[in-house]
Amino acid sequence: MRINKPDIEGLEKFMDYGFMLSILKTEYFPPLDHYLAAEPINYYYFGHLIAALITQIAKVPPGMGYNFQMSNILALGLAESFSIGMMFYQQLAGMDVSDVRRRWSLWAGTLSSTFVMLVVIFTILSSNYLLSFSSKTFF
Amino acid sequence: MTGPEGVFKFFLAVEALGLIAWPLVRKVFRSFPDQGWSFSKIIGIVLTAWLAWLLSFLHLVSFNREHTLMIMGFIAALCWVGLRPEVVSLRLGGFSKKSAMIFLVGSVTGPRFCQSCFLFWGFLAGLA
Repeated sequence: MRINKPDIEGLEKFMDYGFMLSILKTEYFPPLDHYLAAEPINYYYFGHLIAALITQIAKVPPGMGYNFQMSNILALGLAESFSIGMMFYQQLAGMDVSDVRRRWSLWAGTLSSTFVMLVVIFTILSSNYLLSFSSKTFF
Repeated sequence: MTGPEGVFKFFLAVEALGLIAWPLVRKVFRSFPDQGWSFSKIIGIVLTAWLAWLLSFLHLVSFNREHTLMIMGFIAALCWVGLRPEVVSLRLGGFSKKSAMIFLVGSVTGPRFCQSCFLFWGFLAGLA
Protein backbone atom coordinates (compact mmCIF):
# COMPACT_ATOMS: atom_id res chain seq x y z
CA MET A 1 0.00 0.00 0.00
CA ARG A 2 2.89 2.30 0.59
CA ILE A 3 4.33 4.02 -2.44
CA ASN A 4 7.50 4.93 -0.63
CA LYS A 5 7.86 1.67 1.28
CA PRO A 6 5.88 -1.03 -0.52
CA ASP A 7 7.65 -3.82 1.36
CA ILE A 8 5.47 -6.77 2.24
CA GLU A 9 6.61 -7.23 5.81
CA GLY A 10 5.10 -6.81 9.27
CA LEU A 11 1.96 -8.29 10.84
CA GLU A 12 0.39 -10.91 8.54
CA LYS A 13 1.61 -9.45 5.26
CA PHE A 14 4.17 -12.17 4.56
CA MET A 15 1.65 -14.94 5.21
CA ASP A 16 -1.02 -13.23 3.10
CA TYR A 17 1.39 -12.70 0.24
CA GLY A 18 2.60 -16.29 0.51
CA PHE A 19 -0.97 -17.60 0.30
CA MET A 20 -1.64 -15.31 -2.65
CA LEU A 21 1.44 -16.62 -4.51
CA SER A 22 0.47 -20.17 -3.64
CA ILE A 23 -3.01 -19.61 -5.11
CA LEU A 24 -1.53 -18.03 -8.25
CA LYS A 25 0.71 -21.06 -8.73
CA THR A 26 -1.90 -23.71 -8.03
CA GLU A 27 -3.81 -25.58 -10.68
CA TYR A 28 -6.50 -27.08 -8.49
CA PHE A 29 -7.73 -26.08 -5.04
CA PRO A 30 -6.85 -26.27 -2.18
CA PRO A 31 -3.46 -24.68 -2.84
CA LEU A 32 -0.26 -25.84 -1.19
CA ASP A 33 0.88 -24.40 2.11
CA HIS A 34 4.14 -22.49 1.80
CA TYR A 35 4.90 -23.16 5.45
CA LEU A 36 4.40 -26.93 5.26
CA ALA A 37 5.68 -28.70 2.14
CA ALA A 38 3.26 -30.93 0.19
CA GLU A 39 0.33 -30.10 2.48
CA PRO A 40 -2.71 -28.01 1.48
CA ILE A 41 -3.41 -24.68 3.18
CA ASN A 42 -5.17 -25.32 6.48
CA TYR A 43 -6.63 -21.82 6.77
CA TYR A 44 -9.42 -19.71 5.25
CA TYR A 45 -8.11 -18.23 2.03
CA PHE A 46 -11.05 -16.75 0.09
CA GLY A 47 -9.77 -13.19 0.64
CA HIS A 48 -6.38 -14.22 -0.70
CA LEU A 49 -8.13 -15.91 -3.62
CA ILE A 50 -9.92 -12.64 -4.47
CA ALA A 51 -6.63 -10.70 -4.44
CA ALA A 52 -5.00 -13.41 -6.57
CA LEU A 53 -7.93 -13.48 -9.00
CA ILE A 54 -7.86 -9.72 -9.70
CA THR A 55 -4.06 -9.83 -9.99
CA GLN A 56 -4.37 -12.71 -12.44
CA ILE A 57 -7.02 -10.97 -14.55
CA ALA A 58 -5.18 -7.62 -14.56
CA LYS A 59 -1.90 -9.43 -15.34
CA VAL A 60 0.10 -7.31 -12.91
CA PRO A 61 3.05 -8.61 -10.86
CA PRO A 62 1.83 -10.25 -7.61
CA GLY A 63 3.69 -7.78 -5.37
CA MET A 64 1.96 -4.91 -7.12
CA GLY A 65 -1.42 -6.65 -7.05
CA TYR A 66 -1.10 -7.25 -3.31
CA ASN A 67 -0.56 -3.55 -2.63
CA PHE A 68 -3.32 -2.48 -5.03
CA GLN A 69 -5.78 -4.86 -3.45
CA MET A 70 -5.12 -3.40 0.01
CA SER A 71 -6.15 0.05 -1.19
CA ASN A 72 -8.93 -1.39 -3.37
CA ILE A 73 -10.66 -2.93 -0.35
CA LEU A 74 -10.81 0.48 1.31
CA ALA A 75 -11.93 2.14 -1.92
CA LEU A 76 -14.81 -0.32 -2.33
CA GLY A 77 -15.72 0.19 1.33
CA LEU A 78 -15.91 3.92 0.74
CA ALA A 79 -18.14 3.57 -2.33
CA GLU A 80 -20.50 1.13 -0.64
CA SER A 81 -20.85 3.14 2.58
CA PHE A 82 -21.55 6.24 0.45
CA SER A 83 -24.30 4.36 -1.35
CA ILE A 84 -25.84 3.00 1.87
CA GLY A 85 -25.76 6.43 3.58
CA MET A 86 -27.38 8.07 0.61
CA MET A 87 -30.04 5.37 0.36
CA PHE A 88 -30.95 5.71 4.05
CA TYR A 89 -31.29 9.47 3.74
CA GLN A 90 -33.45 9.19 0.63
CA GLN A 91 -35.67 6.57 2.25
CA LEU A 92 -36.08 8.64 5.41
CA ALA A 93 -36.76 11.82 3.47
CA GLY A 94 -39.19 10.00 1.16
CA MET A 95 -37.25 11.07 -1.90
CA ASP A 96 -37.37 9.53 -5.35
CA VAL A 97 -34.71 6.80 -5.66
CA SER A 98 -33.26 8.00 -8.95
CA ASP A 99 -32.92 11.60 -7.77
CA VAL A 100 -29.26 12.05 -6.84
CA ARG A 101 -29.27 15.79 -7.44
CA ARG A 102 -30.49 16.70 -3.98
CA ARG A 103 -27.57 18.21 -2.15
CA TRP A 104 -28.43 16.76 1.25
CA SER A 105 -28.52 13.19 0.04
CA LEU A 106 -25.00 13.65 -1.35
CA TRP A 107 -23.90 15.08 2.00
CA ALA A 108 -25.47 12.11 3.80
CA GLY A 109 -23.47 9.73 1.60
CA THR A 110 -20.27 11.72 2.10
CA LEU A 111 -20.76 11.81 5.87
CA SER A 112 -21.44 8.08 5.99
CA SER A 113 -18.40 7.14 3.91
CA THR A 114 -16.12 9.57 5.80
CA PHE A 115 -17.26 8.12 9.12
CA VAL A 116 -16.63 4.55 7.97
CA MET A 117 -13.17 5.45 6.67
CA LEU A 118 -12.30 7.32 9.88
CA VAL A 119 -13.33 4.27 11.91
CA VAL A 120 -11.07 2.12 9.71
CA ILE A 121 -8.13 4.51 10.15
CA PHE A 122 -8.64 4.76 13.93
CA THR A 123 -8.90 0.97 14.16
CA ILE A 124 -5.61 0.56 12.28
CA LEU A 125 -3.90 3.25 14.36
CA SER A 126 -5.21 1.90 17.67
CA SER A 127 -4.28 -1.70 16.80
CA ASN A 128 -0.77 -0.55 15.83
CA TYR A 129 -0.54 1.37 19.11
CA LEU A 130 -1.76 -1.59 21.17
CA LEU A 131 0.60 -3.92 19.31
CA SER A 132 3.61 -1.70 19.98
CA PHE A 133 2.55 -1.40 23.64
CA SER A 134 2.12 -5.15 24.06
CA SER A 135 5.39 -5.95 22.30
CA LYS A 136 7.26 -3.55 24.61
CA THR A 137 5.62 -4.96 27.72
CA PHE A 138 5.59 -8.68 27.09
CA PHE A 139 8.24 -9.51 24.50
CA MET B 1 5.66 -2.77 -15.72
CA THR B 2 5.42 0.74 -14.29
CA GLY B 3 3.22 1.68 -11.32
CA PRO B 4 0.66 3.81 -13.21
CA GLU B 5 0.30 1.11 -15.88
CA GLY B 6 -0.30 -1.47 -13.17
CA VAL B 7 -2.85 0.76 -11.40
CA PHE B 8 -4.70 1.28 -14.69
CA LYS B 9 -4.80 -2.44 -15.47
CA PHE B 10 -5.96 -3.28 -11.95
CA PHE B 11 -8.62 -0.57 -12.14
CA LEU B 12 -9.86 -1.93 -15.48
CA ALA B 13 -10.06 -5.47 -14.07
CA VAL B 14 -12.13 -4.30 -11.07
CA GLU B 15 -14.47 -2.26 -13.29
CA ALA B 16 -14.89 -5.21 -15.68
CA LEU B 17 -15.74 -7.53 -12.80
CA GLY B 18 -18.33 -5.00 -11.65
CA LEU B 19 -19.81 -4.56 -15.08
CA ILE B 20 -20.42 -8.27 -15.70
CA ALA B 21 -22.68 -8.59 -12.65
CA TRP B 22 -24.47 -5.25 -12.82
CA PRO B 23 -27.87 -6.38 -14.25
CA LEU B 24 -28.17 -8.98 -11.49
CA VAL B 25 -27.06 -6.58 -8.76
CA ARG B 26 -29.36 -3.87 -10.11
CA LYS B 27 -32.32 -6.22 -9.76
CA VAL B 28 -31.52 -6.78 -6.08
CA PHE B 29 -30.37 -3.25 -5.14
CA ARG B 30 -33.14 -1.39 -6.92
CA SER B 31 -33.88 0.84 -3.94
CA PHE B 32 -30.35 2.21 -3.86
CA PRO B 33 -29.62 5.60 -5.45
CA ASP B 34 -26.82 4.18 -7.62
CA GLN B 35 -28.96 1.12 -8.49
CA GLY B 36 -26.26 -1.15 -7.04
CA TRP B 37 -23.32 0.09 -9.13
CA SER B 38 -20.99 0.38 -6.12
CA PHE B 39 -22.00 -3.09 -4.92
CA SER B 40 -21.68 -4.62 -8.37
CA LYS B 41 -17.88 -4.66 -8.14
CA ILE B 42 -17.65 -6.67 -4.97
CA ILE B 43 -20.48 -9.00 -6.04
CA GLY B 44 -18.89 -9.51 -9.47
CA ILE B 45 -15.57 -10.28 -7.80
CA VAL B 46 -17.11 -12.69 -5.29
CA LEU B 47 -19.21 -14.51 -7.93
CA THR B 48 -16.24 -14.98 -10.25
CA ALA B 49 -13.90 -16.02 -7.44
CA TRP B 50 -16.41 -18.48 -6.00
CA LEU B 51 -17.17 -20.10 -9.35
CA ALA B 52 -13.46 -20.30 -10.23
CA TRP B 53 -12.74 -21.84 -6.84
CA LEU B 54 -15.64 -24.34 -7.06
CA LEU B 55 -14.76 -25.56 -10.55
CA SER B 56 -11.12 -25.89 -9.62
CA PHE B 57 -11.92 -27.56 -6.29
CA LEU B 58 -14.02 -30.15 -8.13
CA HIS B 59 -11.11 -30.66 -10.58
CA LEU B 60 -13.35 -29.68 -13.50
CA VAL B 61 -11.42 -26.59 -14.64
CA SER B 62 -7.87 -25.61 -13.69
CA PHE B 63 -7.23 -22.21 -12.15
CA ASN B 64 -5.53 -19.98 -14.69
CA ARG B 65 -6.13 -16.64 -16.43
CA GLU B 66 -7.80 -18.03 -19.57
CA HIS B 67 -10.28 -20.09 -17.59
CA THR B 68 -11.00 -17.18 -15.23
CA LEU B 69 -11.77 -14.97 -18.24
CA MET B 70 -14.06 -17.70 -19.58
CA ILE B 71 -15.85 -17.83 -16.21
CA MET B 72 -16.23 -14.05 -16.35
CA GLY B 73 -17.74 -14.40 -19.83
CA PHE B 74 -20.14 -17.05 -18.56
CA ILE B 75 -21.32 -14.85 -15.67
CA ALA B 76 -21.62 -11.88 -18.02
CA ALA B 77 -23.74 -13.95 -20.42
CA LEU B 78 -25.98 -15.12 -17.58
CA CYS B 79 -26.44 -11.61 -16.22
CA TRP B 80 -26.67 -9.60 -19.43
CA VAL B 81 -28.57 -12.09 -21.61
CA GLY B 82 -30.49 -13.90 -18.87
CA LEU B 83 -31.70 -10.66 -17.35
CA ARG B 84 -32.55 -8.96 -20.63
CA PRO B 85 -35.53 -6.95 -19.27
CA GLU B 86 -33.16 -5.39 -16.72
CA VAL B 87 -30.73 -4.46 -19.48
CA VAL B 88 -33.50 -2.96 -21.58
CA SER B 89 -34.77 -0.89 -18.67
CA LEU B 90 -31.17 0.14 -18.06
CA ARG B 91 -31.06 1.58 -21.55
CA LEU B 92 -34.47 3.19 -21.35
CA GLY B 93 -33.94 4.98 -18.09
CA GLY B 94 -34.45 4.83 -14.38
CA PHE B 95 -31.86 7.54 -14.32
CA SER B 96 -32.37 11.07 -15.58
CA LYS B 97 -29.54 12.19 -17.86
CA LYS B 98 -28.10 14.58 -15.27
CA SER B 99 -28.38 12.04 -12.43
CA ALA B 100 -26.67 9.43 -14.58
CA MET B 101 -23.81 11.82 -15.32
CA ILE B 102 -23.30 12.76 -11.64
CA PHE B 103 -23.52 9.13 -10.64
CA LEU B 104 -21.14 7.88 -13.33
CA VAL B 105 -18.48 10.51 -12.61
CA GLY B 106 -18.86 10.00 -8.84
CA SER B 107 -18.78 6.22 -8.93
CA VAL B 108 -15.68 6.08 -11.10
CA THR B 109 -13.69 8.93 -9.54
CA GLY B 110 -14.83 8.56 -5.91
CA PRO B 111 -13.30 5.16 -5.10
CA ARG B 112 -10.20 5.92 -7.19
CA PHE B 113 -9.80 9.25 -5.35
CA CYS B 114 -10.00 7.34 -2.08
CA GLN B 115 -7.49 4.80 -3.39
CA SER B 116 -5.13 7.65 -4.35
CA CYS B 117 -5.56 9.23 -0.90
CA PHE B 118 -4.63 5.98 0.80
CA LEU B 119 -1.63 5.53 -1.48
CA PHE B 120 -0.57 9.11 -0.74
CA TRP B 121 -1.15 8.60 2.97
CA GLY B 122 1.06 5.55 2.73
CA PHE B 123 3.66 7.65 0.94
CA LEU B 124 3.66 10.16 3.81
CA ALA B 125 3.82 7.33 6.34
CA GLY B 126 6.79 5.93 4.44
CA LEU B 127 8.57 9.27 4.66
CA ALA B 128 8.02 9.49 8.41
